[in-house]
Amino acid sequence: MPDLISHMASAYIFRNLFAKLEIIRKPFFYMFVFGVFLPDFISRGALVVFPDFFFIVQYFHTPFACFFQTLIVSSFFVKEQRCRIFLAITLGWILHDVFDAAQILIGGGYYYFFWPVYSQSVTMNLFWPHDWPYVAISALTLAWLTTGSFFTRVLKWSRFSRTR
Amino acid sequence: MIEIILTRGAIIGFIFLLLGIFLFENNISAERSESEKIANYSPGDHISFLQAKFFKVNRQGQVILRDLSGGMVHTGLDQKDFVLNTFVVVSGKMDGSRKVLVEKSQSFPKIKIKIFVSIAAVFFLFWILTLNIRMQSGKLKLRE
Repeated sequence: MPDLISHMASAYIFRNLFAKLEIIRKPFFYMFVFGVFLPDFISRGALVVFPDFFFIVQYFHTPFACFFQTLIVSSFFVKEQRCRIFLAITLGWILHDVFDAAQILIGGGYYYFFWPVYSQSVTMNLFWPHDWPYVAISALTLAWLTTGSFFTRVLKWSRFSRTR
Repeated sequence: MIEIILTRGAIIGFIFLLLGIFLFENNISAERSESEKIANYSPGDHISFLQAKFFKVNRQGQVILRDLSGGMVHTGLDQKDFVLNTFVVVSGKMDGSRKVLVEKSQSFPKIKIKIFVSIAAVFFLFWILTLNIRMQSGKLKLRE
């Protein structure tokens, strides 16, 4: 997996690119970020705390498990926000899985994105997992570059330099 | 319909989540954990994916790894930049002397920094959520 900073940065990039989408605007954006982290909470957390359960906890990384985890989490929220929270978290873990699938992994790694329909792990083979520091820096830079305030500043600066 | 599913979401989700664990255990993880034990391979077998940790270098300068169950994996790798317990993934073929002739390998020397960075991100998220979620009549509500 890319580190969670990269995943968080991917959430900001997505929000900056699709700013009009209601479920990724505040306050639902926080639940979108929660969704971006969701597949790794148990599956990677257990790597640190319970390494003996490594294989079984990979289940919590599958979209199948993420869907039901999302259902559980969103049911704790008030009725008027529940549906949008469910969609925000779902969009978050879909983004997480797409980002994870971009890695080059020997033997496909542990990403069973289509389980239980398809029982093989899947990758798109775009970057090596050990390149995560560069991915993190690139993702953070891209997140910063795509912010509205940055664009506004660039626009102001270009107008200012034209008037001089 | 969606509202009903979401209202009963905790129960439905919990039941299916539990059932899924058993299904995953039978379909994937049992087979996968067996395929990642070096003891289950015979000379001539192809190893498509084996995760292990760096253990030591033998007298010939070749890397010895330990698989997840603690089995010794003698390899033909001669990398010197590994430190103890570096996480390594290899694929290759087992020769007659049970040595793994590595075709592809991946090492993760900075995995501890990655874990630390990820934990920091989790703390940041929970801090943000704590500031933006409040209780309303026994349910959680995002501050709008």
